[in-house]
Amino acid sequence: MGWLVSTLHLHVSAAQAAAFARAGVYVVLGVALARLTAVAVTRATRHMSAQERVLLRRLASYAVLGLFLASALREAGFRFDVLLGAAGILTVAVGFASQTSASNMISGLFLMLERSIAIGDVINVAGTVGEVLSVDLLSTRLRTFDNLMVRIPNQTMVTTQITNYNRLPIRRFDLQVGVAYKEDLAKVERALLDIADRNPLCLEDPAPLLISMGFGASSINYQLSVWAKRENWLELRNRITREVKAGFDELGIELPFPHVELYTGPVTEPFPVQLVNPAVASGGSLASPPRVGGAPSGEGPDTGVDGGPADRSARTAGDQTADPEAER
Amino acid sequence: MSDAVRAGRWWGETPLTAGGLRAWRIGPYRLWVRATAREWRLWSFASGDAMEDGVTLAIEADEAELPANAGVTRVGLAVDAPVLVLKPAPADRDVVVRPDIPVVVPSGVRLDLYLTTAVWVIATAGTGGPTLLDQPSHRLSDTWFGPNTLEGELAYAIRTAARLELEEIPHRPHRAITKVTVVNGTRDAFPLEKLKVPVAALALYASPETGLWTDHVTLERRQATDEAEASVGSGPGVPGVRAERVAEPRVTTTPRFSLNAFGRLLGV
Repeated sequence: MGWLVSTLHLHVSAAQAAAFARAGVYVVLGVALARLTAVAVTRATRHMSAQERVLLRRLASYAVLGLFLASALREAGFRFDVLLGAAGILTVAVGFASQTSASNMISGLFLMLERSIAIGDVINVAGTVGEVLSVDLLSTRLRTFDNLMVRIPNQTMVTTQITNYNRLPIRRFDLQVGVAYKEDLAKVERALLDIADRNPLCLEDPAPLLISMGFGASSINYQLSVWAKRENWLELRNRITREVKAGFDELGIELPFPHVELYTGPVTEPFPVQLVNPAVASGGSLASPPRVGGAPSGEGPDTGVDGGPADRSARTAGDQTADPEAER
Repeated sequence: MSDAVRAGRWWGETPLTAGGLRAWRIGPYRLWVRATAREWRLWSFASGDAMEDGVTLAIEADEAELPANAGVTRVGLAVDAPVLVLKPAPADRDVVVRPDIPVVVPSGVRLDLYLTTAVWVIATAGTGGPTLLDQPSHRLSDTWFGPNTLEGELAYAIRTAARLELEEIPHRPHRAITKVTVVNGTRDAFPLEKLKVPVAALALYASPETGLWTDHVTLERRQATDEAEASVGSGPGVPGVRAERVAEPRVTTTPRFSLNAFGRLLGV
């Protein structure tokens, strides 16, 4: 250590020390002025969008900082003409070394100029949905709705499909609804359009659209497409689902869930069924003899093939004594 | 029944007793207000029936009568002698009016239509005091008005009989009448399927006989350019209607403003 200090004493003259001190002052002054410039630009650009404000603030503060750093280097004895002379070689070297970074920087510039996203927009990038916090020199930062910070390189942003949920003022919601096969479809269609008509969040124009989606496994399917102001989209989505359920309940329209009918077929072994709950077996409509295998029927769950809680309790009891072979 | 209630006049000042609950009814809109030493509490509720009529003013109420789904607003404000001021206000967006049956406007014809739109209720603590509430008396349906889903603007939508006779208009306390004059200066007749009324740019007037009015609007379709021009005239624009100005427009605009295309204004 003593050796280093003595060497410095030997090689750094008083004039050089003064030049380094001036350079240091330039750096400190540059940082302070760059910060002041950033504050001033932020105040002067209040009427602009967040994206434009950030861009201008960075440009101004980097420019001020760059000028002062260049002055500091000159004061310290750094010769820029040498740098310019070696610029060609330097450019190639830096280009190779920072290919990815340069690509990200250029992509960032394209992103800013293209204005496809802005700070505060909610976007979807390759399945990641979040709010844009910043578009920086190398990357774009998103805050996901579960409050995670996601950093996406700008190059990825340029080459990936981006969905911006904030760009247009109105948005459509498609509600998939299935109704039972027994229903009067004209009544169903009237009911769905009435529900959309009564909801004040649902735009009158573009008008709600009802599309028949065909015959499903357990239901006849419709798509009700309704439009809402972007800010109301989520509320409309929740409300319209609730209102369709309530409206259908009021009109007695069945919203079916998938039904599974077990059928073993005439050429297979009979399906063993046993009712062991005496209360069910001895009285009421379920007292009919258990169906043993065979033909399909519309009775469904209540036959004891598969059912609700009562059926489950019967089966639990039966598990203790049932001998499937004895029932054939 | 007071003269104000008979005339459907619900706006004005009401001194309140500290801690007491008072209730108003303005057509489908209900309002309950309680002012205590340090806060105002306002409950509001709209029945959803745009045609509901009737007015009750500042009657004493019990908190047990409040509907479970009434929205509540709390404002921290200390006032020695609380006075509630209610004012009507025009809608905060333009309104797209769609006649139940489109009206055909023949060439060269000047047609007067009468429309009614719901007004907003503004509550302030004293005259010129802070705003406590600014709500629609009836929630209007949203709509989009533009040539496609990219260009256009959000507006409210109403369906109307688009009456041509003023005498046929029912007077409701929460609705303001707008006289719209449509002038067809072209050679062809056109069906008036919908029109956008710049309600937010209209002032409100009160007439003792016929209730609330807005400024009158003229929409003129011209031959040469096929462009429409809308102009806003001061006052109801109906001879014989005495009315005093009770609310200013929400947005200021020039008395005459033209739009790019007639279709943008009238939706044809």
